[in-house]
Amino acid sequence: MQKSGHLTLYILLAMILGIVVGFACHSLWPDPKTAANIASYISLVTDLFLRLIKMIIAPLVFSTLVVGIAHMGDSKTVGRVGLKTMGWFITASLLSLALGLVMVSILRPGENLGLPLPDVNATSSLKTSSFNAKEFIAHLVPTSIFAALAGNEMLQIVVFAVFFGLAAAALGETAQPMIAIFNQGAHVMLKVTGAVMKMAPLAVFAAMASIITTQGLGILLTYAKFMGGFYLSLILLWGLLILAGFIFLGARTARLVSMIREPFLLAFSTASSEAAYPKLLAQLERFGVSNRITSFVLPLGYSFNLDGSMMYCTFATIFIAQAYNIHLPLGTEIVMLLLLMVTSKGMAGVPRASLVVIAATLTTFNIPEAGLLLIMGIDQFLDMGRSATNAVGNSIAAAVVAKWEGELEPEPEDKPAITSLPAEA
Amino acid sequence: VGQTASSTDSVEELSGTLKKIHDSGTVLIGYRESSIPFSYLNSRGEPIGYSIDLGHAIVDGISNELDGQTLKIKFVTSETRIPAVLNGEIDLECGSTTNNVQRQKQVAFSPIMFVAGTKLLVRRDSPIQSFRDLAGKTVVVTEGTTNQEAIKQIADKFAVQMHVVSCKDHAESFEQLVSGKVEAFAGDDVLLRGLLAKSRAPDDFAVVGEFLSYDPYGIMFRKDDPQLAQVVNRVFHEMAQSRELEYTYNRWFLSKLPSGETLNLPMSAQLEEIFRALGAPD
Repeated sequence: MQKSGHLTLYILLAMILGIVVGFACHSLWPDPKTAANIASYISLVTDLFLRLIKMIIAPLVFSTLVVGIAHMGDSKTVGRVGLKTMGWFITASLLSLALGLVMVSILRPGENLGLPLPDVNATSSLKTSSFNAKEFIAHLVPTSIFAALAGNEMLQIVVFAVFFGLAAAALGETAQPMIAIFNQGAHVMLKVTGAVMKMAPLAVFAAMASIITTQGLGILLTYAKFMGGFYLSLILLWGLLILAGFIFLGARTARLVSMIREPFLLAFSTASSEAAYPKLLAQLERFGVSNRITSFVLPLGYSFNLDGSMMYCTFATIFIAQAYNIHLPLGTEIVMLLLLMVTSKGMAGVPRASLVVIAATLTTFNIPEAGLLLIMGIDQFLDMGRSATNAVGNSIAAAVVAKWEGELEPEPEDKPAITSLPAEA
Repeated sequence: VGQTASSTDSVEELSGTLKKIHDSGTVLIGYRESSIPFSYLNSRGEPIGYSIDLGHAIVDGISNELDGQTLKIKFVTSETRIPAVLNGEIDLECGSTTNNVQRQKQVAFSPIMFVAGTKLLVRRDSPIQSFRDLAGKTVVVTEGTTNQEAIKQIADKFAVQMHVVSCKDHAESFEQLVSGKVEAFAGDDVLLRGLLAKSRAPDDFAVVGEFLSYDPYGIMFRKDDPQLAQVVNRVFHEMAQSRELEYTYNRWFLSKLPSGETLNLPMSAQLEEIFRALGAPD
């Protein structure tokens, strides 16, 4: 624990240092081209880190999930866990979307916005790549596991791994050596994660420094009302998620929150939910969530339980409506929420998906899609909060499902220092 | 197996512009004469620019779709862009055309390839950092431009008491700023950079503030032509994923232009997001 605590501290320091250095670079080289150039060199470190993470993810998801499913044993157990997981996801999604709606209606950040609005006739043309339920469902099943692994297609890997794990379990003794190999593979990948994480503070520093070098901090002031409102809502969402966790997990929630600080900061500073995945998996296991549950809930959550991104969908859509002085009746807002409940599930694996989902929602409800151009100017800063929230939401989802399944053990790596925690089974 | 089947299918069932191109072996590309750096003539009189490069990429995509048929490009210039596209004089209009809802009723657009907009050009040591600082100051706009409209709207909407003067052309407007008669020049971002690039002391000035208006540009082609639309979208996605869109952008907006000047205009946050949504790696 000592070591992990240090790493969190380093990451935090790296973040602050990154902001300072970024701000200094931005003030020192006001010429946008020079700033962009400098930022592109700094961000090389972040790129490298994110590539390492992407390199880890496919083998990590696959190996842990095969082992997890094989240990669950039969399709009935898998089905039950799947149902509970989906049940939690749907609840959390509704909560996130509704909170976004409520907060934006209370705070009204779009009214009297001190910013020039894009002409209502302008367009971002993002809506062209709209979601198609038929295609999305067909896309769940990979035509080749290697293509799925090569493309880091999380859902496709999950589908194959479930089949593979169940088949292995059905074969019993015969498949045991293979499961053992995957188990070893999973451990090797976690070891690799540990090594890659040593680079995390550097990556965090570079990520913060490069974004502030190019964008400066002035832009935060320009959009202060919107940014402030969104982050306030996010903090409330964290509170609600943690409260939900508390209802199920009791006092151990505090421990969970402190254990996910590091993946949380990683997701925040790199604006990438993926960056947090390997560390989140490792931390959840240390917390006592059996790997059967984490290996299953986490990759699914990365597709279906992006709480921060979902809250952003309602928040941003209504924000744009407010900016253009369009009043939506409550009924319309509720229809919008239910529609987003479905469309936001297609976000998995779509680049910059929340913007695309918002574009589609705007056109559906006749709100000027041009408003997107306004929020695109600061999406990087908003994405940081969304990604960090996604990490919080998924760790709580995994812990709750584990508790529900009776698979939440006392922390396995507890050294004598932490014996005071109640041992829950 | 699947691939062979689908490509034979597509050749058999060609329609719209792709059929026209297949039959004539020629793609008609519309260009502008002096829309730097999007679409303009080089010293040898050939159309070059950012939009023209994207046009070449789309032609390659069409050629692939037509099983590698060799295609000729014929460059066409027209005073009336939209009618020329509608009546078949132009297949791909590669200029600097704003994609907006009214035009979408008549023509189709590629994904957005550039976000232009009104910004302020000021002296580097000027206290003006945004439109809010214009109160009591004099700002120049060029007669008849969308920027003139934008600045008037801003003055009204945000009740900023500024003096707006107008000049006949951009060079004259810029001269007003250089000579110190006005404190700011409101114009299109890319145009201001172009004027700066040609000026004697570009470092004495800076383009500041947020967009005061937004003009998203796209490549224009005929509407209700799903086959062509699909090729155009695919080309943009592939170019985004391979970072070629970014390289092409940098070539025309950050590197030295063939005519010797450098626009020095990094990608806007908006365009970055649009390219990411097309699949550009982070």
